[in-house]
Amino acid sequence: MKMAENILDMDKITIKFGGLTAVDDFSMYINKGELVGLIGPNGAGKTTIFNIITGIYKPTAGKIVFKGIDITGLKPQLINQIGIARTFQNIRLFSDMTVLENIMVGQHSYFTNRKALNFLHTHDPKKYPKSLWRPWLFSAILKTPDYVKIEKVMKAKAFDLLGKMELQKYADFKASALPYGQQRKLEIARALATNPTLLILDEPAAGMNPQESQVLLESIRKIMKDFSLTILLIEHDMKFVMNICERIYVLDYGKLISHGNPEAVQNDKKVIEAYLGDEVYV
Amino acid sequence: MKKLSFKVNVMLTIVFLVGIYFFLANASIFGDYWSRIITLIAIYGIMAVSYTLVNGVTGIFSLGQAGFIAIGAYTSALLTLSIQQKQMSFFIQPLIWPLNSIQIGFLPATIIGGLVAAFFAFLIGYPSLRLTGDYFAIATLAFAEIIRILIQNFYGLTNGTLGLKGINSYTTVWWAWGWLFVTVIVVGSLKFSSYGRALRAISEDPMAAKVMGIDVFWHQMMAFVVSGFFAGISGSLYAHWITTLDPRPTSLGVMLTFYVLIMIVIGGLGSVSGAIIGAIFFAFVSQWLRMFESNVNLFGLTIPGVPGMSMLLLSVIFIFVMIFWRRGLMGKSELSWQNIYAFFKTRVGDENG
Ligand SMILES: Nc1ncnc2c1ncn2[C@@H]1O[C@H](COP(=O)(O)OP(=O)(O)OP(=O)(O)O)[C@@H](O)[C@H]1O
Ligand SMILES: [Mg+2]
Repeated sequence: MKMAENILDMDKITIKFGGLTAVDDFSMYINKGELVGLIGPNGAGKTTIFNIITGIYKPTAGKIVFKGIDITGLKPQLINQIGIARTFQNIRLFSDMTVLENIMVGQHSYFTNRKALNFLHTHDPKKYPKSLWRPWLFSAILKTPDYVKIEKVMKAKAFDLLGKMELQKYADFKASALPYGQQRKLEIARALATNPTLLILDEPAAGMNPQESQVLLESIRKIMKDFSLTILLIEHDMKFVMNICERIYVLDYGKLISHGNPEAVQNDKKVIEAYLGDEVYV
Repeated sequence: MKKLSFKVNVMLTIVFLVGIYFFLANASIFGDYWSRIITLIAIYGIMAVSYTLVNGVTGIFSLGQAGFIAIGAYTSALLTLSIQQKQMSFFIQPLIWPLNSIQIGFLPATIIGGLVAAFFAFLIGYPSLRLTGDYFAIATLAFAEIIRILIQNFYGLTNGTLGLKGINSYTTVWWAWGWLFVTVIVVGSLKFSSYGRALRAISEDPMAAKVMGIDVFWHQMMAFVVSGFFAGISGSLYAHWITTLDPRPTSLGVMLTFYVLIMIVIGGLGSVSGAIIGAIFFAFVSQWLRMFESNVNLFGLTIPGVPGMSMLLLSVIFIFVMIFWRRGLMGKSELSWQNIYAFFKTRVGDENG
C-alpha cells in the first residue's frame, strides 16, 4: 500500500566529494500530494540532496525512484521532463530575459520532450503512448501555422501562470529588474511552467521579511492545490516550516537525525542539540 | 512611449527593402571596385550572422568559424570548376574521382558547400561541445587549424599549397545579398522562436536551463550546425568572389576567424542586425586602413607604409571596443523600427527639455 502512494523514494543515498561524505545513507519517501520539509544546520547536505534528486550530481551509492521509475543517474533535463522541477537557493533566473520569456523557457521542453516520452514509453508502454516525431525546429524557423498556434498557446498559458503568481504586471520587465521577493516567486512560476508533479524548493523564503514569507506561504498552499502538486522544501525559517509542512526530515552532517510531524521533530532532543551546536532557531 | 503599429512596421520594412533593392540594382554606378565591396559586405554579413548565432545567442565561444568557411569554399569551388581548369591546376597530383569529372551549377554547389560544412560542424561539435568555456574555444581553434593543414597537404583533393585558381566569379551582388537575406531570415526566425529562447537561456545559465528540461547539448549542437551551414554558404560565396583559394593562415585561417570576431563584437554579441552593422563597419574600415600599408603623403611628409599596419590598427580598435564598449553597438538587442523611433524620440525630447 505504501509503495503505491509513494511519488518519490530515496533509498540509502550516499554521496562523497573526495574525502567528504556530504550525504550519508539517507533515505526518504514522499507521498503523493504531501508537503514535506527538509531542514538542518548550514552545510548539512540539504542542497546536495536536491542536486541528487534533479540529476545534477550522481549519488555514490543508493537509488532514487520517482513515480515507480528508477531515475538514479538520469540527465537533469530528462528528470525534469519526467516531472520534477526545482528552484535554487541563490536565485538563478535568466536575468537578461523578460519575466514572460523566463516562463516560456520553462515551457520549451514541451517541444523536445520526445526523449522523455519515449523513455516513459519503454518503461510502461500501456500508460505512455509512443510519441511521434515532428520537425519542430523547422516549423519554428518557417513559422508554420501549427508552430504559431503553439506559440500562442504557450503565451496564453504563461500569462495565466503569471496571473496565478500575481506577476502579470511585470511580464515585460527584465527578470533582473524585479524586486527580490518577486524574483523568488518568478523562479517558482518558471519551475511550474515545466508541468511538474513534484516541485522542490530550496529556501523559498530566504531573505524575505515575515509579511512576505506569510504571503509566500499562502501562495505555495494555493499552487499546491491548483496544480495538484507534491512539494518538498528546504527552509531555515522554522516558523515557516512548522506552519506549512506535514512531515519533516532533519539532516545533520549528511545524516538523517530525525523524521516525523512538526511537533515530534520540534521536541526531538537530537534536533535541538544539532541546532544548539549551530545557532538557536527554535 | 508610443508603440508603432504592425502596419507601420510592415510599411517601413517594405520601404527599407525596396530602398535596398534600388541601391543594389544601381550598385554599378559606384564603379567596379565599390560594387565588389558591396558584395563583400554581404559575404561578411553572412559570416558574422552565422557566427553570432553560436558565440552570441548561444553563448559558446567557438574559434572554428574559418574552418567551416574554408570547407564551404573548397567544396563548392571544386564542384563549379570546369574539368579542363581542374586538369590544368592539379599538376602535382591529379584530382581524385569523382570530383575530376563533374561540374555543377553555382546554387547547388553553394548548398552542398553549406551542407558539408554543417556535417563537419556536427562531427566537431559532438566531442567538443562536451567541453566547457575555454576548452571548447581551444578545441574549435585546433579544428580550424587542422582543416587548414589538411587542405595544405591533400594535393589530390585540394591541390595543396598551389591552391585553386580560375574559379568562376559567379558571386554577384544579387547572389551575395540574396543569401544574406536568407541567412538573416533563418537565424532571426530561429532567435525569435521557442528554440531561440532556449538558446538564450543556455547562454545565461546552462545548469538552470538543464533543470528546466532543456537538452543543452543538443540545442548547442543545433545552433552549431545551423551556424556551420551558413558559414559554409559564405565560404562558397567568398570563393566565387575572390576566385582563387589557398590555405595560407592569412586567407582562410585563424585570421579570418579573428576578423569575423571583430565584426560581431563591434556589432554586439548575439545581435543579428548588430552583426551586419559590424560587417559593414569592418568592410569599410579595413579598406580604409589599407592606405596605411602603402606610403602616405601627409603635408609633404612621406610616412612609409608598413605591411600589416591595417591589422594592427584594427586590433587597436578592437581592444578599445572591448575596454570601453563591451556591449558593442547593439548589445543583444535588435535594430527595429520601434528602437529607432525610441532613439530619435528621446534625442528630440532631450533637446526640447
Ligand atoms: N560539488 C561539491 N564539491 C565538494 N563539496 C561539496 C559540493 N557540493 C556540496 N559540497 C559540500 O557538501 C556539504 C553540504 O553542502 P550543502 O550545500 O548541501 O549544504 P546545505 O545543507 O544546503 O547548507 P545551507 O543551509 O548552507 O544551504 C558542504 O560541506 C559543502 O561544502
Ligand atoms: Mg543549501
